[in-house]
Amino acid sequence: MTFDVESDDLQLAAIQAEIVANDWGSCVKRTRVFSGSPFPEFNLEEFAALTGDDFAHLGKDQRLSALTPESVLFFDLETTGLAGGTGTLPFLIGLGHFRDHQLVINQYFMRDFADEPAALRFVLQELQDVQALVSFNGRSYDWPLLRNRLVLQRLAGPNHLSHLDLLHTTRRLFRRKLPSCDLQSYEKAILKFIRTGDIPGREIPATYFAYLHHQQIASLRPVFLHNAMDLVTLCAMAAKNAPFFRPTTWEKVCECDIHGVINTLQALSLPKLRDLLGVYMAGNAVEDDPEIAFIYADTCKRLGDWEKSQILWQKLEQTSAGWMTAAAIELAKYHEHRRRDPDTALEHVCRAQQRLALRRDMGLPVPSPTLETDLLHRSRRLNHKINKRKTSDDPPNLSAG
Amino acid sequence: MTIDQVLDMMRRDAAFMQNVKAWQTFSAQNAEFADFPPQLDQRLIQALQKQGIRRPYRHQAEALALIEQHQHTTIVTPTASGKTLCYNLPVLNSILHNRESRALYLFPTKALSQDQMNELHELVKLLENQIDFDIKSYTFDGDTPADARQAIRSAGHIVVTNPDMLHTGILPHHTTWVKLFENLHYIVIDEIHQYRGVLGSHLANVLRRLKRICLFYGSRPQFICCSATIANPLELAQHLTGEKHCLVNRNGAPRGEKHFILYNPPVVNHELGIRRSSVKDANDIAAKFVRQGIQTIVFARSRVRVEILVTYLKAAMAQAQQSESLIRGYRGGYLPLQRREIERGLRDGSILGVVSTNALELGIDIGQLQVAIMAGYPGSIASSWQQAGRAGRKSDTSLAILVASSSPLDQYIVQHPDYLFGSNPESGIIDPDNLIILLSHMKCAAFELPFNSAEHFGADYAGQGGVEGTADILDFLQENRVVHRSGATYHWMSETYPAEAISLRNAAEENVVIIDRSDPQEKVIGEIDLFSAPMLVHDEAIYLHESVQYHVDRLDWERRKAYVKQVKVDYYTDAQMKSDLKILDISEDQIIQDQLFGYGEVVVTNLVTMYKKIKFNTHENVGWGKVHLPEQEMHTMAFWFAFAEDIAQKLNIDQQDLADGLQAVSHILGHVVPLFVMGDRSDIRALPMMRAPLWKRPAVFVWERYPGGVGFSRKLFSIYPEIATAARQVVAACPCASGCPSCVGPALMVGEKGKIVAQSLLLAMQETPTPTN
Repeated sequence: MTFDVESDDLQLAAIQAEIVANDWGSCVKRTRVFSGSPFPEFNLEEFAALTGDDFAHLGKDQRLSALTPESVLFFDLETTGLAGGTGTLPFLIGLGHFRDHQLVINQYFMRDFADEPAALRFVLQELQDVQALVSFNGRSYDWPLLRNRLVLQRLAGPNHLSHLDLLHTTRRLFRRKLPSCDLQSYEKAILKFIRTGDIPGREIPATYFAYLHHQQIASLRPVFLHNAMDLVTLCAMAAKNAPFFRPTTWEKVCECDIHGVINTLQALSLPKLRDLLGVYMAGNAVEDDPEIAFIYADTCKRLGDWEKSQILWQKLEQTSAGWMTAAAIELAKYHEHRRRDPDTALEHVCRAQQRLALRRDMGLPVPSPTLETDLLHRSRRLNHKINKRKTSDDPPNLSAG
Repeated sequence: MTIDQVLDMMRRDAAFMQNVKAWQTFSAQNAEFADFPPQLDQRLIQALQKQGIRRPYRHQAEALALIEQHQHTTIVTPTASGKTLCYNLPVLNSILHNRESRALYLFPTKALSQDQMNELHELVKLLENQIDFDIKSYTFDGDTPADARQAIRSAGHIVVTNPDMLHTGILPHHTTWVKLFENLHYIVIDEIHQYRGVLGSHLANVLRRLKRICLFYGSRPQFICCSATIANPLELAQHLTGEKHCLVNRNGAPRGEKHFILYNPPVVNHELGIRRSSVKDANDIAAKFVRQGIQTIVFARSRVRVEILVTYLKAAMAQAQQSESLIRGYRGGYLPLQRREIERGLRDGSILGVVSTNALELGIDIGQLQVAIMAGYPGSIASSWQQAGRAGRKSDTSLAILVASSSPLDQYIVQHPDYLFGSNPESGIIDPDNLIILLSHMKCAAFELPFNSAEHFGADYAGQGGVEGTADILDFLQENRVVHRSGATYHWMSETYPAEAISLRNAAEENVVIIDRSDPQEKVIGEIDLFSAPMLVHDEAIYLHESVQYHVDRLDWERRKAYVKQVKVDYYTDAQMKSDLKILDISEDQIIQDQLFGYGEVVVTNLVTMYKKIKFNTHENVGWGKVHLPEQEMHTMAFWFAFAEDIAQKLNIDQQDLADGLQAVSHILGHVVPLFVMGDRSDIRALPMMRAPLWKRPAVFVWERYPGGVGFSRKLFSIYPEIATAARQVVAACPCASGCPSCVGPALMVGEKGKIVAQSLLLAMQETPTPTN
């Protein structure tokens, strides 16, 4: 039996690819260049505008602030299995550079296992020129898998690269907003884009195995497209996710999960966190979201903006029992330690105690036993201070000087 | 009371002595010392001195010297003879010489590896001030937390694991263990006698894969194996590792005087040949000791029996107004912390009696006990000695008592003390080339590293040997599109992760659980292997458990559960199984003196169709019923022995007598064969046939219960006269009139003459010489 195999050239032409060679053999390389708006809702200029801070936000890592749009490499593998381990071949390695306002995608394809040594060397070469990889779940899947292949070829992998895994970013921002944080859900919800005719990821290994058998490269066309699409989405994802960490409007903040942004900025920059919370609280009353208001107050306190904190705490004292108690304790601390005014401090403590006592009388649950103990200790100490001062007859405000 | 006083008391106890079939005394032996080999680092010698070890025992020194000469070495020593030092010293020595040096330790179980680690840690601690780096040893198994794994992969000098973890967790991810494989100097495999049959055949292949990976990273690790006393430790080690080994087997450790008693409970039912329960008698004997404050360990064969014995012994303590907390159980299923607490209690003496499964047989440190009692023969001589070794770990007098059960094997042992006390005839048998096992591991190997078409899987370091048909198997895998050939190499080409689907242990084989519903509170009273279930726990069967009758209300075949209720009836049930066996391929056969014997591939089918109800005493048939269960089929290996066509004439018996005799022979062979091949009773089955296929002669087949077989049949081909001899001795020595479960099976099954005919047939087998090549 013979297969009607098209000639290599014809086949490669069908997918707009070429054969490239180096000292270790050859493989197939397919290059695609995107410019302007690859998706209706996304323009590459959005990515071009990213700053070092944006990269730091995306990766929740200050060290990434040295990155520029042109120093990163988008990275995605198509493989022969999802199980991992040494027996999985990344037969298609997609890399994306951003150069001169264009996204250049190079795909290295292995026509057979014999192409792997050459393909891996081409990839290593491209890795040399960049500072970081940008991937989607690449930290735990694609990159370890590529490392396996390098070890199997007894090649040293690069160790200068940082890794920005946008799956983590996306989870932080949208875990509570999207039904799933996979690429397709993201494209649909954020990029307003639905792929048509895309090959499902789980069918890819079988498609490659079939290709190994019949050698029709054209049958892999959907896989090449799928991989290229993933890389474009990666670029869009970086561009679309970054603004959530530096929002200018209340509406923008509300599109994502503010907790994820808070969590990131807490690790990176308190002033930026204060700005974010300021934008958010401009559109929310304290009683609408006491939790965030409390974080806002706490951030202001840590930045030394006692004025702002005090106002927020006082408003929080009017809210539910839990936040009221927590705010009362903060106010008591403020008055006792900053203002040296134990009387006012005690007032706040007593008010909280009365509130909790009332709840208990009504048979309602008390927010947290530790808060109660805290209040008790605090009131004892404050009473002690006040009594001591009375005996020494010290006017209250002098000691503050 | 001291142990000597107790021994004295026992000698004067006539009732006890009546049941003692043998009382063997092994005299004390002094330590034999030798010198450390010159290659051993002074810092190690100093550390050992701090532990009170000035000179090594002779066998330790011998092993060290061989290992330092780069020989793969197998050490055979009894319990508590300091074998761990034999491998810990060379491993630490190589790390002291080269801090990048690595070693891999394999233990059969998790619990055991934990314990051996403690001993290693103590030695490492003593070296701490002598060196400017840390020697790190880690256990890597299913319990190792994910965040610790990275450190173990790159920094662990000594990685301790088990075959299963090596198979699924390490080898398929070898690229993350580069440091280990590049620098691997030693592979230590402890308790190799445990790796026989299916597990051993699997392990041999796991080691073939391991060696392939080592060669890829440029290392050729040396093997150090340890074994309990078996007939063929060197052969087993060589089969497992695929390399030539040197043997060290002259123990130089000191021993106290040891008494070993074989005790046979008296017969209580002569007709059925039933003896008093071994569990009951073991309990009575144990109670005597613990009440006298003598630390005692009792080994029971199942978890259920452990619990029963613990309950009995606690009650016995309470009766004697002593604390029940002095008695504890120990078995798989107890939590690790609980186990540690019991081990500690045994060491410090706060626990007087412990009842254990074979979990405590291995080298877990429980200090020195005075008496070990085995409730039933543990199944192998190697295990018996390991269990007996739990008593008398230092130079004091110690005592081991084996209480026999009614099974033919137990009866054989108590009647032939030489088998236990002489040199061990048990062989560890494996077949690394079992096609099913081999194929599984070649898939894993292809996943791990591509195969070269010239490669012989399993070749030794020198490139010799290995699987002849490697290329054929690879072509087969390619046809099935599991691998893909690219030039001269075969690459894994499947989405699956092959190691995951392959279990090394056939213990995972299914069992039917027996659930007692007599009380509202259901309880599991035991389990039975899937193959025997249709015979013994079909619907309406009367199932005997611990001599209590249970009626099987329902056998849920799909869920592998049999629901039973306790009953008292005057009949038992006897299921009729139609077994058939076809020979597919003869591997070897011969005709000597008109007797034909051989081994080869067979297919066995079993179908239980009906059962009879048979009244006790009168043996009247009082009813019957149909059994509706699926047929079971297995392709495997079998040994056969076909008698001369005119054997009935020669023996002057009729056809029915001959049929009964064959039935009787297969019953006893089924019990005796495991003694020689170190298998479990469930590993083999025997089947009589009046007109066996191919030759139309009366024959007995012994077939292996693992698809494809693991080498037992080939072994039987060469040693059947010995087995026939042993079987005949059991039958001859049995006091029953015409058959009982302890020899050829009940007279009802084998007829009046079955027992006599069986002896003649076995004699014929015994007198047929083994094949000469």
